[in-house]
Amino acid sequence: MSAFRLFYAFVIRDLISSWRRTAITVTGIALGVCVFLAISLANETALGEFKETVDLVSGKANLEIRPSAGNYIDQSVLATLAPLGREGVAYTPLLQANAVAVGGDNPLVQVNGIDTLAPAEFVQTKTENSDKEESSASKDARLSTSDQPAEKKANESSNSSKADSKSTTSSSLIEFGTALIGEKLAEDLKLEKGGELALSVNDKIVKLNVIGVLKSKGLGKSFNGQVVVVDLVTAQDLFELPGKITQVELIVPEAIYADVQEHLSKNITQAVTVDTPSARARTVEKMTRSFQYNLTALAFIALIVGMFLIYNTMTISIVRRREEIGILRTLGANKWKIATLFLSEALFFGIAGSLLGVAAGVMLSDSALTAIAGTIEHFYFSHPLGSSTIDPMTLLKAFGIGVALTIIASIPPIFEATSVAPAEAARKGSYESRIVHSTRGLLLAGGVVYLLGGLATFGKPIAGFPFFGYAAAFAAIIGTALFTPFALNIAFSAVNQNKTIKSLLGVEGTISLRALGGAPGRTAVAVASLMVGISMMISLAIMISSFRSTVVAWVEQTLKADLYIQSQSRAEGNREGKIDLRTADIIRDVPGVAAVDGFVEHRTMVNGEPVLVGAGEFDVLKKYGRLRLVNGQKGSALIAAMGADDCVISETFSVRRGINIGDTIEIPTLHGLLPLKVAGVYYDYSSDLGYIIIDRKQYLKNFSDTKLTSIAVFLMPKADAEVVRKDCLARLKGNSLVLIRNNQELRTEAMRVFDRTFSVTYALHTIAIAVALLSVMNALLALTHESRREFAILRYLGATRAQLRKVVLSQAVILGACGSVAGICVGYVLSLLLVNVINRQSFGWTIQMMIPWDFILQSSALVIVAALAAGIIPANEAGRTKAAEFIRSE
Amino acid sequence: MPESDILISLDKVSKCYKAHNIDAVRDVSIDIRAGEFVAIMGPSGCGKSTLLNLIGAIDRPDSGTIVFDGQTVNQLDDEALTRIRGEKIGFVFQSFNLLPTFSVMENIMVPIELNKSKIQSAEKRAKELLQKVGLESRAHFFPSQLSGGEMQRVAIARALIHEPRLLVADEPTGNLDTQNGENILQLIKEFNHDFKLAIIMATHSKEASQTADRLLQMRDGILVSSESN
Repeated sequence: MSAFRLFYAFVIRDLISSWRRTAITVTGIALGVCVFLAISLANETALGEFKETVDLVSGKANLEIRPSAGNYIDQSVLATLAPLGREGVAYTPLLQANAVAVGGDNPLVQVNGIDTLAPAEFVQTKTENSDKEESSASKDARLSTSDQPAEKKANESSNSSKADSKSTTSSSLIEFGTALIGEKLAEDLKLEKGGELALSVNDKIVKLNVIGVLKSKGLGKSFNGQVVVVDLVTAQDLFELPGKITQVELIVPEAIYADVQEHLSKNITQAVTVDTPSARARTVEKMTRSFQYNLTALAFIALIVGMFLIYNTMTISIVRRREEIGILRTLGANKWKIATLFLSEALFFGIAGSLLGVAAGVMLSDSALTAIAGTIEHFYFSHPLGSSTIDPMTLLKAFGIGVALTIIASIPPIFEATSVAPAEAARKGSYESRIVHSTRGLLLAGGVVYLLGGLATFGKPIAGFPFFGYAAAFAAIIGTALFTPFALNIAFSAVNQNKTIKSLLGVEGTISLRALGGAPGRTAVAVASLMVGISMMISLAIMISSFRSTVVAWVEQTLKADLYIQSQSRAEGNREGKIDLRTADIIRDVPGVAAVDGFVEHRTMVNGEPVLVGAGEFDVLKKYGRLRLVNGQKGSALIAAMGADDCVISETFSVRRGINIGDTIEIPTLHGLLPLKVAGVYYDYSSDLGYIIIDRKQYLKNFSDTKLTSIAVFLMPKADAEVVRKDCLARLKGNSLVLIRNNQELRTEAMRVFDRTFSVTYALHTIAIAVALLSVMNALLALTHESRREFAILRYLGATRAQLRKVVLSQAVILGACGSVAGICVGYVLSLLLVNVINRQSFGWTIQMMIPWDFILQSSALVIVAALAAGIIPANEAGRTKAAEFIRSE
Repeated sequence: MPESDILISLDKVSKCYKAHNIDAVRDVSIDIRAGEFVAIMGPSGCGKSTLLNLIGAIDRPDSGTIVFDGQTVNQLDDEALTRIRGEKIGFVFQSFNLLPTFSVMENIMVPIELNKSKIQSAEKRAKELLQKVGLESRAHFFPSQLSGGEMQRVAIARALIHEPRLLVADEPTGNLDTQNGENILQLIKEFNHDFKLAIIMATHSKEASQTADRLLQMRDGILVSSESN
């Protein structure tokens, strides 16, 4: 018989005849691959879109000058660059800032203030970069508008309003108050050339005349098409930043690259960094690393559960066909032949499941992106995330991982198939008896794995990723899976010897229990699969619940101001939206206001890693502040005792950087590096980047940014917050567009953000549970199939069809209950690892443990009900047992 | 024979397995009296087991009538047939078919527990039956710890725990050596005599068939002879 014929007869026919098992396994693998891929694509898209915007805006620029202290540099820096022009260096200043467009869904937009009279050489490069055909017609193809001649021809039939417009180039922007807008933005706002664009900039609404719509290419494609291009002077006016820019882009010939860098570092007196544009993307990558690593690790859970399903399926396949294996061995098939046959079966599962998973993952990637977009935009960087970018390499990686894990999970059963003698293989139940005999060995192996896991908890993170923490979690799962046969054996024996439990279970329950106990291998794998899924659910629930209660307590103790003010733009999703300093003065004069704490923050780099520098009014905080310090000291007392060069740092920053009280850190300022002594470490859960907090007076001395990120308002005793709020709004009307929340509203908002952050986590572990339930259904189908003889006997002995169904459903409930109990135990261990090792190493937060018993009980009940539902198909199969036919087959 | 003595009556019963296009039983008519011991002989595939399944209310005929203990059973639904099996019929198989994960005592008690009968009195009866089959010391053994003969004796005890009126035995000595086979037949005969138990037994063994009161011969699904021993 040729290899293919044997493969067809032995593998394909069996896959078809056992179609339920095939479908369950393929679905399980597909779910795991799908989740992993969707999250991977979403993660990559989030970063990829940011990188793309950086690339599109910088074009062919190979060097960039950016502020190292605060958010802006003075455009006087351009004078330093003038001599470089003679050396063939092209450069152009840029003021880039975010705003919120008014109308549509109030989309976040990126405003690019460009030098419309930038050197032709620089502009020419941009043209080539985007579209050569347009280079002759448009001076700057980054700004290729849809009404340029080259486009005009193409658009004549479809868009007359665009076609009859005059050519628009960047030089047209020189007129103050004019703007080019991205095509997507124009569509969202239903704006055309000649229309008026309203932007919520900081705490103001400003209006611009739209003089053209940018095609979705070059700069017009940046920021997902939600882009506004204006002249630099217009931008400076919009953002009230006269003479300020955010960066200078340079195109430096390779030959003088090093010299130019040296020239810049020697001659620029302002606090700047000179680096490639891609360095910005690397910074963002560092910022989001922990979040993305941990999300990917969570997405991996469904794949791990899927491995148990594959192991289960392959074990069932091999156990069920031991007789056939024995015959093949007797007829001369060697071990490798047997291994190849089962390996080809595993490959089929891996390839089919992974293909299906890749297809589903692509379809779900947009939903995954939506799920994480809010968190990324809130905590890390502002960038509209539309739809996922499908990278073929990522698809290939997900497919490869799916197939590889399938093969890995299949190795133990395949080894089992090849390691038995032909005579033994033909004996029924020999696999299960091997499991019974190796229970102690498995117990010992489990102990060793647990020990290794324990040791792994002492490992330090690698490149910021808590590799050893996850290894410990994985060890806890595998160790418990190895304990499972022994634990089940003990539990089943105890139940069997207990007459009360036996009478409670009834005859159907007893039969179920005995059947499960009689197949310890299969039962253990099904229970272990459920255990993995449930343990992940429980551990995440404990972690999230603990984290939530910790944050609730922190919010209650820390957010003590009566009113909180932020700009309208920030309230609408622009993290950069700020408040004019005069607003604080106006608020201070409102009757009933006792004190005002203006807070400002900006991102900076300390020792090559991003961190937030924040400044508050220490004079106010001395009296009203409720900073919770890690060492238990009173926050207001510490602030009162702090010197001008002291700072307090957040716990995250302290833990992740290993910086403690008494250490000195240096932050870049306008005047160079400012050494600050760490006076205290405080609990903070608002950002995992970490905070360095200094007094506002110190901030103003060292940074040029005079605006405020937010204002906390403390009221006089007996002052009515609602009355003061209305008064504040009335006084600010016409001057400052702000959102004022009272204390309760801010707390509610904080918890809404928290819950949104973890919503994707819930979705991920729900899918892991679904895969685990497939494993239960798989095990029940196998048990039912193998119990046909016993079911037939029972039918002869007077069992009704309903009783047989009840037997299988009882098995489902027993598996669900065992899985739940084991899952809760392992879940608790995993939650300790998540809270004390993985979270600590990834984010550095202290989380007080809190067990959500109500959730655990409800979800366990739900899992048992779901297991019961998974047992319906096998139960119906059992109910259909044809006793006469089966006994006759003897 | 007086009609009141008849426990089971088959009238022109036929059974065809359409999937395999086999007429397993064709126009079989027999009456079995209460307490009568009937043996069926015939070559493999002649329809003995199918006939036993029809008599034992496991299967339904395609045509003909089966009356069991005064009740026409061939049109009854599955529930009703199961109830009749659970109350009035016991089975013994060639392969013993004990439940491997149940002890001897538990195996014997299964029919009682399935039918929610009076368990306490049944336990007493189970012990008596175990004593009768000579296995009282093996009550807590599992099937894998028993010999073939012992397993068949447990199977007989299990078949009789619910005090059936009919024992259906399909090749009960087929998997046993001569000595054990004789012992089992002796046991069956004793129960037949002591409990006025009707027995219908399929067998290939001429010696076994001679234990019965009457011998039926089957060939190709047809009952070809009926002789009293």
